Amino acid sequence: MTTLAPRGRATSDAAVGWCLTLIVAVPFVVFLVVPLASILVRGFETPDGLGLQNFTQTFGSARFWDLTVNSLAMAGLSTVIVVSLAYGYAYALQRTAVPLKPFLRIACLVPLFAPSLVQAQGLVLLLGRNGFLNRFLGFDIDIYGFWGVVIASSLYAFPYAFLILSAALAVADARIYDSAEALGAGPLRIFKDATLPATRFGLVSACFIAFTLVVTDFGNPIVIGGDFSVLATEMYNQVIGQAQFGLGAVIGIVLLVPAIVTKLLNNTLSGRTHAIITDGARPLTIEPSPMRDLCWSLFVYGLVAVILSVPLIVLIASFTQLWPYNMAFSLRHYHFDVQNGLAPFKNSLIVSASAATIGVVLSTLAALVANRFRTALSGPIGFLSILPSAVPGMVLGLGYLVTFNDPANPLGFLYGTLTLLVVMITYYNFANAYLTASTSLGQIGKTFDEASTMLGGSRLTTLFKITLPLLWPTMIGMWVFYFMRTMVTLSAIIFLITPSTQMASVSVLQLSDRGAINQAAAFSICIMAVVVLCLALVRGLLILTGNRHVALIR
Amino acid sequence: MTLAIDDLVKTFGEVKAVDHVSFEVEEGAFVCFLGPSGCGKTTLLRIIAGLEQADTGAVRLGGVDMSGVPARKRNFGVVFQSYSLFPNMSAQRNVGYGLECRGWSKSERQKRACEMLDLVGLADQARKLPSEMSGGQQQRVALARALAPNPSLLLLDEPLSALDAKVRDTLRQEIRSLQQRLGITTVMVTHDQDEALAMADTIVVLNGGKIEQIGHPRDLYTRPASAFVAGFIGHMNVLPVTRNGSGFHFSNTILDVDEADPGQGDIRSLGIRPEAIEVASSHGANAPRNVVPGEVRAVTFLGNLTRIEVAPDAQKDTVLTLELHGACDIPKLGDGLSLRLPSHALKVLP
Repeated sequence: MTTLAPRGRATSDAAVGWCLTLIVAVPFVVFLVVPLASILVRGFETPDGLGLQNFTQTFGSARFWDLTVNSLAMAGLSTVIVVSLAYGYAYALQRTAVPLKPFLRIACLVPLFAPSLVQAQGLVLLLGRNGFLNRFLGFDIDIYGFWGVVIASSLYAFPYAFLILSAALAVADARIYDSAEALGAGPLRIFKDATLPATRFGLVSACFIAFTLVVTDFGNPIVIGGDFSVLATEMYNQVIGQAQFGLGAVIGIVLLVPAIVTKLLNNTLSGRTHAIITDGARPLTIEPSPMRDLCWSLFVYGLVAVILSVPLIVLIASFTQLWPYNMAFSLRHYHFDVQNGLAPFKNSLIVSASAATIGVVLSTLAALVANRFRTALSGPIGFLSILPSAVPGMVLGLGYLVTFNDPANPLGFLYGTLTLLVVMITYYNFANAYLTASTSLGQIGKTFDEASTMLGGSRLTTLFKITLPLLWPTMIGMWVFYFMRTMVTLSAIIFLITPSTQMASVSVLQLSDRGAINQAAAFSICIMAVVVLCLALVRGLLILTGNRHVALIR
Repeated sequence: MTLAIDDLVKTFGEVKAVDHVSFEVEEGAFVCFLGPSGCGKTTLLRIIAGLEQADTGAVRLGGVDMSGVPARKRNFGVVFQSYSLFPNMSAQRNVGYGLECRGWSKSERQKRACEMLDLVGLADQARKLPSEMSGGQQQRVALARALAPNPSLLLLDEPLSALDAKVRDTLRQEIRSLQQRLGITTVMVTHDQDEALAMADTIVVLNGGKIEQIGHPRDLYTRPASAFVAGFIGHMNVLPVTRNGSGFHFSNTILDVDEADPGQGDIRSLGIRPEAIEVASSHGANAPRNVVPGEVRAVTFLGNLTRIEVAPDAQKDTVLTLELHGACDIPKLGDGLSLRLPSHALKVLP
């Protein structure tokens, strides 16, 4: 038989690498670098040219410092509460034998499936002026203000803190616990000397992430804050209420600080956590202990009742005639005959599905360029890909507003379209998807690439026949995550909402604001239903195709 | 086609992975690169494959310089250490992949893939995914996949080291007989001396990026060119000696050596294989030539043979290892034992 040379291809492998690089890099500059740069520029822009006037004006006002103290106090207290509770909850699930763990794990993540202001919405229905407790149980609670925001924010940040702490508590070396017990240490001492030190990085990380989430959150404080304002709501008022873009930009820059600190700290910490568990480690086995398990069960079931009471009361309100005056069952709020009808909901679905699709494609390409098709721009692309995780949604949103609402911008026609929302959300959630794709590519390993090369496959052949078929379950997981985050986000899109681009989560805010609590509740429930349905469908698909291991919620 | 390696150099930072390596492989030969980990053998294979670029030097196949030819156009077959079968494809599609890249039609691909699978004895496994096959089966498919496009050179990168001992032995013979049947020039990397001795026509012993010795397995064993080769291929007892006229002195024992040429200059050490050492009949202080009295330090029973370590009375830190075959009187720990080192078995080590 004759020797057969592999078939030639017109495009060389290097050209393919550069092609992909440009596909990723150009939109990065236009839709991430420019908006972030313009928010910085806006901060320094004054009627008399560039200057520090916005900063001096902001930092010189007593109101700014009041708001800063409000934000710090509220976020600080919420962080302490949420991390303590989440630690206990995660501890109970990982280290004790409480019953029905799968239920408990899913139940505490429910807030992730709801629009981010649902906590405030639910608390108003439970504890507000016309709330369940005041109205029907004879209490006289005033929830609007500091405490309302603290409770709502704690509930909001709970799942995020839980996921981190649960991962930290999941790894343990049984040998350490055995020897501690053999040396005569009591349970408290073992906790102080073994458990706590092993999870301290997770604790610090959870604290910073919870703090950043809470301090940059806008939906909950605006719904339940009453007269109590924080930096995030002030930013909204400056920009939307008074069109003071420069002052809004200054607050945006201030809000970037905790987010960037969190990101840097997380990068430093994640490198160290691995060293705790060594080769010979033996996983912990949990022996039932009736007294301990009963105590922890009381705690976790009490907590999960509080967490679930929020979506539950929203669900009830969505099915009542007119909360709280006429509590009869009714489906009329699901007719969506108010405001724009179902349009915001359709917009949300379109934007979420489009952003998820584009985001998965672009973030996978970015991961491929950074890990496989290396070019001179691979490094910068890797950096830009994780940058969005350090940018709060409101800040990126304001960046888009000042960039694309500018008549001088040739892409200005995008302002006021759903397309711009899609693009913005694509980059807002980029980091998470990119990191997932990168990790997955790392696990696939380079041997397959080399094997394919030696058999005569070009890089494109390898990509389409080997890499992508192996990556698709992960990409499906990324898609769901994107979709879910987009359906529920509020702070990222709030600045880009125009009458022609209404979104469901914003409708919830506006309906609540107008006092239409029942319709607002119905909207929230629909968002949750879609997210849960999507998660369930994809989970089913993954199980059917033998990809049970792919994580959907991170 | 003849494979010629011409003065290859490859450095990674400070480390010289391949240090001025040259040799030739005849058409149809089976060559093994043998050496400890980090000796540069895998790097050398990867340079030949085109997966790594050499700093200087050339790889020529049939006289043609391959340096301008990218890996995917070289038409070399490679089998990797880890089972690198594509997990998303059946055995048959894996085998047909190289043909797919060469634009073969589907029916031709299937026919060829079946032939190849038949060749490695897995015709009945064609539809299975890699995850449904054992390690040995996967490596057989990998071999079929590498051979399917009719490569001009077959490269094997530690193909057997991830398998368990039994499978390794059978596959060793299968690869060798298949290679001989197809007459394909083959280069294999291994750190396992048994594997190299059993399979190769020629062994290239590498150490620190340099070639220590090239030769037929038997020559490497009987005439090692250096103490490193002697120690790496089988075990070799090394005796430090001083020369005095016609004889060598190991402490107070005089050793006759057949192969020593009186004209040879500075000789400081002699080597002897464990199986060549005999137990001397008598044990006494006044030992004759080539007999070393000593004391048994360790006895290891290994089934078909017993390995004994003896510390010579006159030089206790140079422990000699010998192997006794079959059922015989096994000395006990601490026994006195005199060893005869036959003059024909003593090798001069450079």
